[in-house]
Amino acid sequence: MELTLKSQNDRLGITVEANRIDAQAAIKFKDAVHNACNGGQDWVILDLSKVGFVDSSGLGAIVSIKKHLGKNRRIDLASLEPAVEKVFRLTRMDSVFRIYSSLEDAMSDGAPT
Amino acid sequence: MRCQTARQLKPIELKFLLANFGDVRDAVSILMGHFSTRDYMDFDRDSIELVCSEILNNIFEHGGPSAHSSYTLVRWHCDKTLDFEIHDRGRAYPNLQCPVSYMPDPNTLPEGGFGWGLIEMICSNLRYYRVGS
Repeated sequence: MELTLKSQNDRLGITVEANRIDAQAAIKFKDAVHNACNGGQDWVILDLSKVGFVDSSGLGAIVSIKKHLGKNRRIDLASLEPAVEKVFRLTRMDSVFRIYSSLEDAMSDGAPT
Repeated sequence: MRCQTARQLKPIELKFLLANFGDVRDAVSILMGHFSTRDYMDFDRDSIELVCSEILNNIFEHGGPSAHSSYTLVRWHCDKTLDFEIHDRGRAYPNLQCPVSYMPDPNTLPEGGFGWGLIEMICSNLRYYRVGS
């Protein structure tokens, strides 16, 4: 799966260049993000602005990425489309991830100006 | 589904062969083509897409070879509410019942188990039948 990476200080912004993270895409998505995170930045922001649909398999893949990063690294989400936000809300996974309105907001949050 | 409309629409029936996840994605795409018309404007398309995807994925993942090699039938009609029937020829659920549908505790970071919980949250009058042996 194609990703666009933006590295800045301690942060890695990952924009998912796909419109679906469903059962067909979940494993490739997870593998691609794992590889992208190998650089070791402490703070990963997953930008889902181009993703219009996430099902339970896609949600499981995102949770798996969080677990893969471990407790010493942070992962947040940015730019959830309404259909995607709904899945996080219904499953209450929105209580586990911090959700930013945009990748830019996340990348600049608390950063020195 | 939990939404009402004044519309009354004739039943529609489609058949899909679900031999892999790509087939499921294609089936959902075809279904959503139907639900993108004005006839269904009173319904939440996101919810329809999520429920169809979860149920068809479930049939492919758990139905076994007999589900993969025979048609899954999706029939729906609209008479104030949107009512779906989905028939497959796959393996039966244990005890001939839907899995217990509770949403996993998000704090345990579950990687699965959301599917039936989502279906039940979005749908009403969810029923499962096994016909024949």
